[in-house]
Amino acid sequence: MKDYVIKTHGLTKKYGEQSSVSDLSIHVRKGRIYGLLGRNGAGKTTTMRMLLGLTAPSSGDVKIFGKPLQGNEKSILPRIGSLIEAPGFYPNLTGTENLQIFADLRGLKSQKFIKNALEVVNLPYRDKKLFSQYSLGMKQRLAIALAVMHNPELLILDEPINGLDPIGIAEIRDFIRELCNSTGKTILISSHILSEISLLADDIGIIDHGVLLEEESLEELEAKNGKYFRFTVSNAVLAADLLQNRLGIRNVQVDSANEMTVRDLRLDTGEAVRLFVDAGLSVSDAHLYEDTLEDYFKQVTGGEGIA
Amino acid sequence: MWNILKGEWRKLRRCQILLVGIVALALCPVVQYGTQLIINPEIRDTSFDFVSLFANVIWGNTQIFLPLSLVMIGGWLIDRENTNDTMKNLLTVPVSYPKLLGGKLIVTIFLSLIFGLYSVAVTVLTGTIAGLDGLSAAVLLRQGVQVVSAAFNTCLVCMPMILLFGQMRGAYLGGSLLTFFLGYCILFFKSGFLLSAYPFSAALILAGFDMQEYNGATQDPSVLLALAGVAAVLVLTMAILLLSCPGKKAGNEQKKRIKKGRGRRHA
Repeated sequence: MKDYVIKTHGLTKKYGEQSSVSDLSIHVRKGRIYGLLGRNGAGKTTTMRMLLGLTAPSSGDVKIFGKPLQGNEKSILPRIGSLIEAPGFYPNLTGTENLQIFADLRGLKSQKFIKNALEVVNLPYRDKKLFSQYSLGMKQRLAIALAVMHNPELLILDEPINGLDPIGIAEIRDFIRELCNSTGKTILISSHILSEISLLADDIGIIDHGVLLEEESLEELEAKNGKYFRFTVSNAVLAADLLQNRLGIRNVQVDSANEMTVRDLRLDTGEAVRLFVDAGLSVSDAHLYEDTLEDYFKQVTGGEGIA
Repeated sequence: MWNILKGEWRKLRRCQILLVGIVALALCPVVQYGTQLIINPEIRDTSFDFVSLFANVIWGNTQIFLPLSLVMIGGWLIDRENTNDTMKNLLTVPVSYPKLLGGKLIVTIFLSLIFGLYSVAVTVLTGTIAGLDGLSAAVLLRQGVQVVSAAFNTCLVCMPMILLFGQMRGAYLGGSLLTFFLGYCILFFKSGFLLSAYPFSAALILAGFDMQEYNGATQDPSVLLALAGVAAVLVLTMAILLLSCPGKKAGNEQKKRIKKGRGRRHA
């Protein structure tokens, strides 16, 4: 059995008649980065809130570190660092003063915890700037500092790159990857930005309208991405007929008078082109294409794209 | 609990809402003395001295200024965790919600003591500027203790309002106005059970305030009934504390989602 840090079974959250999350069963492996990918409003934040005990599930159960969350909050939550939705801090205090409050609550006596946390997100220690004067990116960095300050085993980060500039995004991405690689932390990260998830995650869960549609490793997902040939010829109907009857190729689809798609990967393009030319057809294009993760996402979510 | 209290105290840094208490309590002796100046000379207290001013300040603080300020500040301390979206950070530490609220109440009580001392200082200053007679060390000590203990007791009886209105998003202002009204109602209870048991009257009686001389009470108040009144408030406070749970966020989420759903269908 795999070593799951987070395991949910049939997790459901209903608001009245409306389901925000339905029958969600996710499996986050130890020492891996799990990317929860979905459009805005897909149920990512509600799922994360349920994993942290901030929202009570309507049904289903959550196990973290092998123990049910309910009833074990006092032993489980201190081992988790989290960033949920927008960064929430006291606007009348500086970044250091804000972290000091939570350091006290977590029983972190030494100032080095605060200093280190601010250092990793490139925020100054004991700066005079108040949180209310922070830019969105600085607020986000402070929230990440809060999440990592107590050196948790598990990080639950809801859209952590929101509001960051491209350099900040790259820094945080590297930082998260480094945390996972060097310290073996398990990280659950959500995003609606597919490219970010594909750059960072080891395992991916695709959630849409509260339902987990896919849960696989990045390699498995990439392997699943469809490959196909496209031909542009003078007569696509005749060309399709030749492929099916002379070469025994299946999954041939005529897209227009001159274009066709072949999803049978046994096809030898050189042989096909020779066949077309011998039959008097002119071939202006022959290419092997591969679906992107975005195409796959569209496919599993029923055609809706993602940023 | 100590860490919660330390955190709550730190959160007060640079908080402008504290000015509400500072300004209100500075106004109290000025208003009380000013009232003496503008009332009809026939009913004016010709022997108005420091003791009278202190008594007026204690009355004014408990009837108007402290209920208004303490519920506003205490309610805000609770409300801000939702408006600043910091509740999620606290609950995932995890901090027990009733303990967090309890910490906020203790900080508010501590503030009431500071406000009490501040009120003593402002009263002495006002009386001195006004040239009132009768200030001595004994008067200052006796009246000062009464001002501070009345402030403490008033805070105790305001606690249920702080808890109730602090937990309703944005309602602490309304709560402070309602508490002001409740405080003002002391005026109507000059005899019978409520003279002693009404929590705001009880706060004054337990501070040793002379209800017959300054409130026009027609009978001697009962200290036992006053204790019972304050005890009832404390029991109510404890019950609210134990029954409180951070469920507001979920309620808001529900509203947001329903609205979102409607929007999507129209789109």
